[in-house]
Amino acid sequence: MIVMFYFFAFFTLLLAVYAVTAPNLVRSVFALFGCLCGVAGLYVFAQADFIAVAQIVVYVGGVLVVLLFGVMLSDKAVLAQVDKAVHRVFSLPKILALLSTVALAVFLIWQVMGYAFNVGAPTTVNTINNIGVNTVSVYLLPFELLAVLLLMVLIGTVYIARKGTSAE
Amino acid sequence: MIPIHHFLIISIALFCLGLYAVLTQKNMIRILIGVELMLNAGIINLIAFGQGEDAANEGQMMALFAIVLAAAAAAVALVIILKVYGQHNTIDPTQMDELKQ
Repeated sequence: MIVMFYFFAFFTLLLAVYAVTAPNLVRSVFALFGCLCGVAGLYVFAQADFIAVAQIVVYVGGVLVVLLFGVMLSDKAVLAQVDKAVHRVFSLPKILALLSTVALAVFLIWQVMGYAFNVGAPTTVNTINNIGVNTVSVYLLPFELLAVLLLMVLIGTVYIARKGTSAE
Repeated sequence: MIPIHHFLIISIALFCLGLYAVLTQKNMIRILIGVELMLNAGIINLIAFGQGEDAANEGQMMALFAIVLAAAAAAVALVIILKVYGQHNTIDPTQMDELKQ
């Protein structure tokens, strides 16, 4: 079981690196697809089965389809031009970004490793049952607010995306 | 049980990859991919610290709400990218320097 965790972790990080560095945008989106599935696998090892399912349904089913639509709706020539500009050389901004990102990672890992976190022992209780009860009791107000927010997003995206706004 | 430090290190690596994408990419869809990686790093932290909770499930509930909010944000961001592309004919954020044509 421990081996499976590190397999998922390796898989996730490898695909994340490919998603960031792949020259082809569609490959990058599909690498993100695999990466998010790997993250869902990691959730299972932290006893969050329901969150893992939600991750697959929402991210893999929703966000990635939306991303692919975005890729396909943008112009091929523009995409090729942008991609070529990025992969031309190791430019100064890229090196600076790499250095600062690696520095941040090293600093964060150093901080995290030097701290003994007090986390409770893993439960044997089925958390899905608890989540169901909590959603409609303790967290009812945020749940309803989220429903209203999703309605706002639905109407707002359709309003922004409709034709003819630029002429007004 | 998996040590919590290992979850945190995976989360840090994902966050830094996302940050690198946001800093270097010249394509708004790729920047969005970086933002999604960073959001996932945050959610991994919530899940990692939420393990071992019996009744309240605060970590997992927060992660659930964060996933839904991230999906909504991605949809709005994509629509804005498409609209901006329609107006400026580019998805390079460094070339978008006008509010109105």
